[in-house]
Amino acid sequence: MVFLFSELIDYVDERMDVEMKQVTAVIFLVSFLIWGTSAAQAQTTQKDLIHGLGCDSCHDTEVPQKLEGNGVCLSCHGSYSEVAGLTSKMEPNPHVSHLGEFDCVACHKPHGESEFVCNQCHEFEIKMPEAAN
Amino acid sequence: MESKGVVKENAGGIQVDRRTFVKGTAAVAMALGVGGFLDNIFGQQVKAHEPAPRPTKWDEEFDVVVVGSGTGALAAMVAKDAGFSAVILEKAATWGGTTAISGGVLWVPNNYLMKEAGIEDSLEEAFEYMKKASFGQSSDELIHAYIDNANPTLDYLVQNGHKPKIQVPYADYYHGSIDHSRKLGRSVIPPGLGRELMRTVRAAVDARGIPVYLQTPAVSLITDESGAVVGVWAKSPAKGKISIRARRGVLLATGGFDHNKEMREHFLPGPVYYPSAVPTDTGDGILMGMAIGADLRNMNEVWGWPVKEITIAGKKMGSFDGGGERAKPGSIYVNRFGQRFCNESANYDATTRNFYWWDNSIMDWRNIPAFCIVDSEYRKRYKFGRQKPGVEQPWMNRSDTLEELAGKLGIDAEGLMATVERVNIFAEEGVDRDFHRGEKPFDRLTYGDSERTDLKNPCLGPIKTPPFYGVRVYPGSLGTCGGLRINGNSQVLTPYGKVIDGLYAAGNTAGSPAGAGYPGAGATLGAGMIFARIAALHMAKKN
Ligand SMILES: Cc1cc2nc3c(=O)[nH]c(=O)nc-3n(C[C@H](O)[C@H](O)[C@H](O)COP(=O)(O)OP(=O)(O)OC[C@H]3O[C@@H](n4cnc5c(N)ncnc54)[C@H](O)[C@@H]3O)c2cc1C
Repeated sequence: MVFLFSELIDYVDERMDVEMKQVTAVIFLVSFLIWGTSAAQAQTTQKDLIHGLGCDSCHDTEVPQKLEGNGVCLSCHGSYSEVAGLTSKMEPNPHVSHLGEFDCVACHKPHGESEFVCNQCHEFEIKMPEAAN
Repeated sequence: MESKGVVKENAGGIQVDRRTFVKGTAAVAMALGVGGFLDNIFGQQVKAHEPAPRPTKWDEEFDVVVVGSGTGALAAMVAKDAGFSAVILEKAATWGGTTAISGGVLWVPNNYLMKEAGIEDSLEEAFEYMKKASFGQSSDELIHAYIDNANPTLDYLVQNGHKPKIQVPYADYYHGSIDHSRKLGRSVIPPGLGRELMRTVRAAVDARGIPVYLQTPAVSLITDESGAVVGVWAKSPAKGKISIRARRGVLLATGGFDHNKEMREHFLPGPVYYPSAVPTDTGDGILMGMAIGADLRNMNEVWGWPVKEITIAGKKMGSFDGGGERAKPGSIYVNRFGQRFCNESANYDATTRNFYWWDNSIMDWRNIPAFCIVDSEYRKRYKFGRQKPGVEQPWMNRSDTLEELAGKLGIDAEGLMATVERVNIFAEEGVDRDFHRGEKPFDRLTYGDSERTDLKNPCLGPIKTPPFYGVRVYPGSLGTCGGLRINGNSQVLTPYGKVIDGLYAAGNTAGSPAGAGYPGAGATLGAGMIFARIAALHMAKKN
């Protein structure tokens, strides 16, 4: 499902301007969530776009709360420098920067469209993977 | 170097040995607590920078050991070409240091591109210019070494794949203020900036089979009975502490002390905010040299530039305000009193100096923080905090009136309004009667907007179209540029002017040949690469 979704986003990406894309993304998202929960018969009620995990995989409180820091991400992905190792062939390496160990979710947004934050100031030729994993 | 016993002392809860030294700057080094600079490397506390005992058996041996993979890397190539083995040690996990994130510009007077373009220049004139442009904090010997070796260094880089172009429209930084400057040509830039420059250098290093050890900081120098440097101790991620012999010499090119708070506070004349060098530039090479009695030069200096304080994804950071933004018409700097304090269109290093006014009437830095104020006409045309026209961010403090903006930023509103009124008159007349902005050819050629036919002065525009925007600006740096005192062979000297055999320094680890000035774009990488090459050639001559 996640794979399909990212393909669709790519399709949308090529054809629409950003605003339209966002609206369309939401429509796709909603329809896919409905499709996803019924078709895949998942136990959870809502899915996270990046990993297809349940809410409680990251938020372990009854009422999900905003998470601080990278602890939850790194509990699966290892240390920040291990993550940097995975992208060491990229130029520049997005996980080695003057921001130090930056918030993972600043770019990889579990609940929204991911954004390569560095390019708010820079102009690197790097695109976010739509759905990593 | 005499050791006067060992004192146990508790630093940060850890028992460390501190030797006391009696000679040279080692005493200064101790006062600064060199023994207390504990690096937490690979989860292990190690005692850095103190001269360590000679190993009974060397773990590795090379002719030339280069410490730091920025500008110093060139030395390894040159040594290898002369038939000697070399290694590059790098503390970070990444290659290239600050050099790789830089603009990649080199300042090379009378270079081949100038000749091709028919721009006349001479080394004699360049010497005269640089001598004045270093403001008494360099020496004829170092300036000659720079000027005479600049072209051979550039040519060597070009032979190895470097493809620079003349950096348009960069005039020398004191063009119009100091004689024998050039309005174009001495600064050369590769299209892909520092990343491309250091990719070229890396390819050349790899092609020569020169090993590069990442995550392997040198921690101290190893000397023989005569005091000559014969190797280094380093920390290897796989092998732990290793001794590396340097048969011909060690080049310290570990950058400046930008990220060593203690050194910044004790050496620099004022605070530096959001230093732009890579975070691993913590003064290691300078401390290692101090620890064996090296002299220092230019420690009160940085390659300065102002930084705007911006917030991206919740994180505050300094966005360098070189000139592309600050110097454009419709942008001014004011202090908390709403008063201007500089020519906003001068070169960035000179502009940074104007922040450092300790005002005894308020017993504080009068111009820190300062504020960059612009209007909507400005924002339609130019970037602001690196954000393109049209992009709005909360930290821009968008306000309908100047009064409101002053309130948000904590600026005296009356002061700001009076200043803006005055600037608007200046803009109309085309003359900045306070700071002479746009009078010097440098201002107009390099930073002015020559397309603004609506303005009498390409650097001066009115600030009158709401909404208005403002951010805090601080004095920042591209790198500190004081360090070990070197001679024209890049050899490190003691306070008595004696050469420390086997020890060389280049780049921001050495007292800069440009002293307290910044002759032109590329002078800092120039100083690094030129003196790295000189060091390697000198090591190659050793018999
Ligand atoms: C954004 C930006 C743009 C710039 N543009 C230009 C430009 O166009 N032209 C110009 O002339 N200057 C420019 N500068 C300044 C210039 O980049 C620096 O002054 C220069 O790169 C310093 O070179 P260096 O070799 O001394 O230090 P660095 O390039 O920082 O290299 C030092 C290296 O040593 C390593 N190191 C530190 N300690 C140890 C240790 N104990 N053991 C092993 N390795 C160690 C560091 O990790 C680092 O990689 C710019 C700076 C910035 C920030």
